Amino acid sequence: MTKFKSFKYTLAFLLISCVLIFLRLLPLDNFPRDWAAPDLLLCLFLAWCLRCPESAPIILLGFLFLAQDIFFQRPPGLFAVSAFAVCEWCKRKSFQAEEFPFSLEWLTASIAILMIFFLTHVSSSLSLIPTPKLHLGLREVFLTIMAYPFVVLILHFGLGLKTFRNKSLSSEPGREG
Amino acid sequence: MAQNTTRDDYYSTPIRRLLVWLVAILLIGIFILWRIDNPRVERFRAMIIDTIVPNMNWAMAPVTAAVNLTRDFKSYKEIVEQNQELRRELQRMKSWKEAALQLEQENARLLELNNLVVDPKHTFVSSIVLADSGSPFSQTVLLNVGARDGVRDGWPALDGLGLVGRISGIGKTSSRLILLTDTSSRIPVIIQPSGQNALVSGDNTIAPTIDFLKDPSVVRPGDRVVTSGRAGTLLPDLLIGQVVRDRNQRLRVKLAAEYERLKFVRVLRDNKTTEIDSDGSLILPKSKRNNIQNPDLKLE
Repeated sequence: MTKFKSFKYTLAFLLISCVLIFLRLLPLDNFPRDWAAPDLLLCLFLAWCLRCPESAPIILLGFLFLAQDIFFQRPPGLFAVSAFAVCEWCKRKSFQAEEFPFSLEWLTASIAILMIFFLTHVSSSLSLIPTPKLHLGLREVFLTIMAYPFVVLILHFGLGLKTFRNKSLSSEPGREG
Repeated sequence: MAQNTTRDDYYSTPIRRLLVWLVAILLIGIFILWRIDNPRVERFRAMIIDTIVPNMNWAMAPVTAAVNLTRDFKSYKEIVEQNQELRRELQRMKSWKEAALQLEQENARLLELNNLVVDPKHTFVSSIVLADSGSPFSQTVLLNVGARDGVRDGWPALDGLGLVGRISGIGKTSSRLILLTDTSSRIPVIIQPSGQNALVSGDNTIAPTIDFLKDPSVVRPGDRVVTSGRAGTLLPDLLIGQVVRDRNQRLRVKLAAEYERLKFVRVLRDNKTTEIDSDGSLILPKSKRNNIQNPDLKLE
């Protein structure tokens, strides 16, 4: 991938995340619900880290995670650090893998989502922060995992975000859906 | 990235590793700082939100309006039924209005007898809901009034009918309102007509629970729940809602405020509220509190 292309994808990444944060802040629904919508932002971040890690720079990732924490009234830095660490782990997985079929990608993303959830939950209960109900969080985790293929599908056909592999560029990048 | 380096080489450069560690440590540091010195970091958060979110209002307002418009359009189908329903309701309301007028006159006469003056400090600031917290885990909204309008921490906010929540977190032009449904919301209340004191605590459902009730047997569904103003936390006699019983026989409050469409709220001026400007002084007894001079906590 050329430097310019990588930069373009970084810019697209930044833009889409800003738009998603903006949409979540809209005061549309103040009714407390028994379910949580899937965390599309997390899907987006994971898809980017797994599919083209070069265009998700470290500092931008950390900054965007922290911004989410600040805007969404979560303990600042808690979700950010666990999501950041897991995203870096995803990047490494994506770098190291020779073949990266979609099934493996989805599995990695699911493990990542679960890890982020448990890291956040355990560390917040260890530091005596009142944690939200477990079942609500687990529902969100499940829906986020289910939403991941759709996010990838949109990114794949909408932006052409394919897995860039040096070693196996010829292999089929996505068998979505 | 140079074209000829492989991915593994690219990934494991020391600089990259260092950067990852630096960012992670920075984030952990922010979290620990938040845990230790909560008010300061929360003030910092309010400052950031205050500079960014009101500036986004030019984009937020039309998008919100568009979404609400489509929602309203969907409900046009039911408008005929709604119309008939409203007519019937209006008929009933007329008789109520008559009763209310009579009561008003009676009330006016009684007030005159008592020579009572309604407290003039109960004025309010009207405000618009700018943004919400963006997650179902915390029930807070952002209002477009702040320190500039004289709003202070702890002031109650009402919609047309009942209490919506309390202000917690002030920026210059924005402030955060913790709704009664939030898990960290605790409101001291009195249940009328039995006059029992209790605590209404949010639990992320639309009907907060009633806790610490002395004698649950005298409380019936349908009783009115109003703020008690105990411990100087809130103004007394603000309507919260009615008592209901859920499936597990637990007492809850059906909120009088309309949470489905929260657009405008009134923030009541309350000049008595205790201000929270540091962590420790709240816990210490009053004699010790005055001894502590902590100049670096006054961050203005």
